[in-house]
Amino acid sequence: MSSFSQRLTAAEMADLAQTAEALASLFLAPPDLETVQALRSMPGQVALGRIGEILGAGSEVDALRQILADGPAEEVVTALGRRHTALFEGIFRQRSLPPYASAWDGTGRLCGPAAGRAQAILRDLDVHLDVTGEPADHLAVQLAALAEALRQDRSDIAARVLDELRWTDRFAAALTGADRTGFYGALARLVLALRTRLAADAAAATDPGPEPLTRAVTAQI
Amino acid sequence: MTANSMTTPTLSKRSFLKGSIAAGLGLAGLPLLGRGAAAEGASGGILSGCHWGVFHGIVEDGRAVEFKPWAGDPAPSPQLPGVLDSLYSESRIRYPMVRRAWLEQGPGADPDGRGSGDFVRVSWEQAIELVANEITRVRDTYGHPAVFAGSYGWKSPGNLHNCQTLLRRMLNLTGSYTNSTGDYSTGAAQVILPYVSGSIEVYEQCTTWDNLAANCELMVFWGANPLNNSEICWSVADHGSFRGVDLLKEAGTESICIDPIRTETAQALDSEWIAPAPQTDVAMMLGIMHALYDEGLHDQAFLDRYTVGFDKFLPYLLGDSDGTPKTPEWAAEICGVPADKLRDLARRFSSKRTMLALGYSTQRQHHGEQIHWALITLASMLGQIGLPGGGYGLSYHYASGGAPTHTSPILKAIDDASGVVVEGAAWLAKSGAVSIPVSRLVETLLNPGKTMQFNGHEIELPEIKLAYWVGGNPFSHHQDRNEMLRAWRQLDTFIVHDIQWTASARHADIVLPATTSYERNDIAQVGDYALSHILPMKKIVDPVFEARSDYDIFADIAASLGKGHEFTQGLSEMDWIRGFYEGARIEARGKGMEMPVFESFWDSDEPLAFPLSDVQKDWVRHADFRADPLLNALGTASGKFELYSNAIEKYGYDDCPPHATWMEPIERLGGATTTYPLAIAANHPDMRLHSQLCGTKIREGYEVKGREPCWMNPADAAARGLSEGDVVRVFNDRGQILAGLVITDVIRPGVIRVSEGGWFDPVDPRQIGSLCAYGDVNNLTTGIATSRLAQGNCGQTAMADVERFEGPLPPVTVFSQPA
Repeated sequence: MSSFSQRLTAAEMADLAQTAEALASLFLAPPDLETVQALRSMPGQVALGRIGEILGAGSEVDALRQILADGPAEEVVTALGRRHTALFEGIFRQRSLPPYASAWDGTGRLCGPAAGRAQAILRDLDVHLDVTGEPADHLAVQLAALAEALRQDRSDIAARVLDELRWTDRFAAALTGADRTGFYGALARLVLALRTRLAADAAAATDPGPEPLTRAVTAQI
Repeated sequence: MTANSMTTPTLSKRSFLKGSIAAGLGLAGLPLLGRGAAAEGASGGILSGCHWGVFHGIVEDGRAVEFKPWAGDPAPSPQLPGVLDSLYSESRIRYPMVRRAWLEQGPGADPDGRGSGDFVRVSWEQAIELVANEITRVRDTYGHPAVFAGSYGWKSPGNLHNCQTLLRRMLNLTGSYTNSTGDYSTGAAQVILPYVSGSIEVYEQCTTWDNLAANCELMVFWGANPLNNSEICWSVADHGSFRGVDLLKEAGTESICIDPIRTETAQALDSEWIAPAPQTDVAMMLGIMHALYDEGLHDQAFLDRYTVGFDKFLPYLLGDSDGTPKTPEWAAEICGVPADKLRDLARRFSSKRTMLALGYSTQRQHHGEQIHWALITLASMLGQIGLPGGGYGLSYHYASGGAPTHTSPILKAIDDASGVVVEGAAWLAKSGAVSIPVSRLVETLLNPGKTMQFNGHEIELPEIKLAYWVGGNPFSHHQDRNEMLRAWRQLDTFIVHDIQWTASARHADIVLPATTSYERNDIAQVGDYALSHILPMKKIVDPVFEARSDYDIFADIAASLGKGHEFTQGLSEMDWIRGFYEGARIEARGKGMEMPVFESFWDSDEPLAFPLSDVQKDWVRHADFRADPLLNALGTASGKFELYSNAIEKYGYDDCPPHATWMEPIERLGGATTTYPLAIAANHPDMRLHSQLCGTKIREGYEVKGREPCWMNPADAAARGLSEGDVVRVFNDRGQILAGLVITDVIRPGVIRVSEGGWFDPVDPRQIGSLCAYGDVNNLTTGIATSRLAQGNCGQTAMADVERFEGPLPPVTVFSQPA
């Protein structure tokens, strides 16, 4: 596999990395007032738009924008916090959707082998987890690792992360089912779009024929 | 800025987008990853222990992958995989959480909403501040007794991280609180037995299994099932009872199982099975006693020398005092065991060296005090108390009572800073401004200011506004769940530390994630009775998520309240552990044993073993008393077994007469005024410890259609048209649950078994009386007290009916699993 820098511009790589980090941040914890205000601001709206463009997921971003604009920022913070807890903490009257690979890969409990593999990826990237106690197979950590692999132009490691992220097929399907028109359902679809985008890019890199998809998309922007 | 006030972009779109998504979203750098690879985590086996035994935690790169039983365990628990799962359970509490209504509207807001789950994640700093401020507010507003810290439950073993002691330590150092007295296991027995035999007995050693194998001719398991309840210990399990049952089997000892269920122990020993109606044990014992007396089989010499009060009991037995002779025929009518069988038992008990092993469940019923008293009266008539292989034992079924006690020092533990020296069971320690009988909390919440009789004195029930629970699950172990829900609405605040989202945590206002004992260091002894080893309970893995040890949590709260140094004494976790060990080392030296230096002990991969003497191996309960009843007098007023208590007579309780007496419970199988047809055996579960491990994968091995199993005899199932695997509704006037039907002939007709400890899962948490979707049996049990003497719980008093559940099945959601 060729390196990212051979296929993507620096800006594209930065945008994809920041998209992964943005998604990571929003999955890690419910957004606070400052974050919601930033998302609702002009630069935030533009940044969301860019995410939609680069992932070919404009409708998902529109959904996010609509939810973010639905009432005063304080109420949006409350609603998203409630939803985050309901979906990911498992204390409401519905099954929760733990954002950990081990909960979805059939190994039976949290902190399973996926956490060990994710830890090894971080080690190979020469980074460590700064969040106390959070297992490395948390979706946010894996997305952050993906961002770091892009930044370091380590397509080999990015491929490993993408392979690890296969569990998000089930996770995103469940999350979309539980939160079809909601904020986190839209985020789940963006995660899938990010994976698709990067996978397509990798596939294109191994195919000498057509112009890489990344460049085609970039050219339209 | 609102969405409507957005301004037109002034930057060109493309130039802004270059490297600007993070900035545009207000993400000032993700605090997730730092530069530099972390060192690889620990790998290998780490020695530790838990209620289920000693084990090695197998770790790969800092992640526990298996809990492997210690090679020295004679009968490793099949529940160990569930123990590992509790560490990494999907229902693990990951972050400090506060109920939204409480956080936004203040203490006491929307109490009906407890359990509906609208929590807000907060930082540890905010959580500590909220807790400290709330303790202060409640104390200032209502007085110190308004804080209830009688927190009760099985927590985890370890002499430092005893969360209940740590809670009381923090509250004692910063003021006072309301405590609780007694426990749910033996609430009735432990109050009455000091009047009868001079000590609480239920947590004291029995004649050893080795002695039984050599001397006992007839072993009677009366509501006692060692192969169930000895999988666990209050401390770290030794599993000595498994060896004990094997010894009896090898010796070919005859055994009888008196129980509505043909227990695992009965099956292992191929015991004769006698299945009386539940709650009729006293009547059955009286029938046997009458036969003994009628046939002149009782030991009058023993009664004369070692007991008092038989002369006052006898008129009752013979019917002279109440006109009802307690004949085998009379007893048979009540208990359902034929009169001839009762006579046969009287003859066999008296002609053979007989050990009567009585279980705790028999006294968790209305008038439960009478059972242990009746058994000791029966044992006294048999006259074998204090003889090898004979008499009675009250702990054979629990924590490997009867496993010989090794010569070991006592390992000290952290105290509650009350200045009260604890002897015996730590959870029975007394401190606090007020103390209420542990199972009377609901009554207290609903009746502040009311006076309550308890064990010969009067208690004024305090007004409680804050309940603080650590290491326990009252929404599992307390009876009459719906009455409890009503009572809980009197609280302003309910604070819980736990490892998983139990029903109690779900009903809390402030929830703090605690570490399991596998995420911290501690020290403990092996075997509640055996005391065979001192064990380094080493940390297996670093704390997961944001969990913190109870010690650290309470240290921070104490610091917020100005008593941080007093709480920690400036000692670290390892300082405390080393201190406990060194204390034991000094005591051991006094016993002629030299323990290794601490570092050698801690770094060893084996528990530190202590010797077992031949004398201890062959120990006989009450042998000293029998040898010299004056020199070794019992702790009763007379120094002898009291078959009639003048002290209890003086209390004048009509629900607890001064000698063992058959008293009708409020409801029972065959009871004249009983409405429902099926008695519920709310037994200790097979594959969990009360409610511990219910929220783990191990549940998948026993659940039926995702519900708690309900055992039923084939005849009862046929009468209701029910089939194996049906989801059934079990119901009475107190509540309703769903369960999965298991049809089996190891349970007698007229009785169903729904084990206690199933996690409460109300379909509508706001509605009192809502259907429990999983099967928490305490929706059905009564919340009344055993009597005014002990005020114990009646967890085995429940009648119900069963029907196939029709309609859409509500999902079980309490365990939090992926869809």
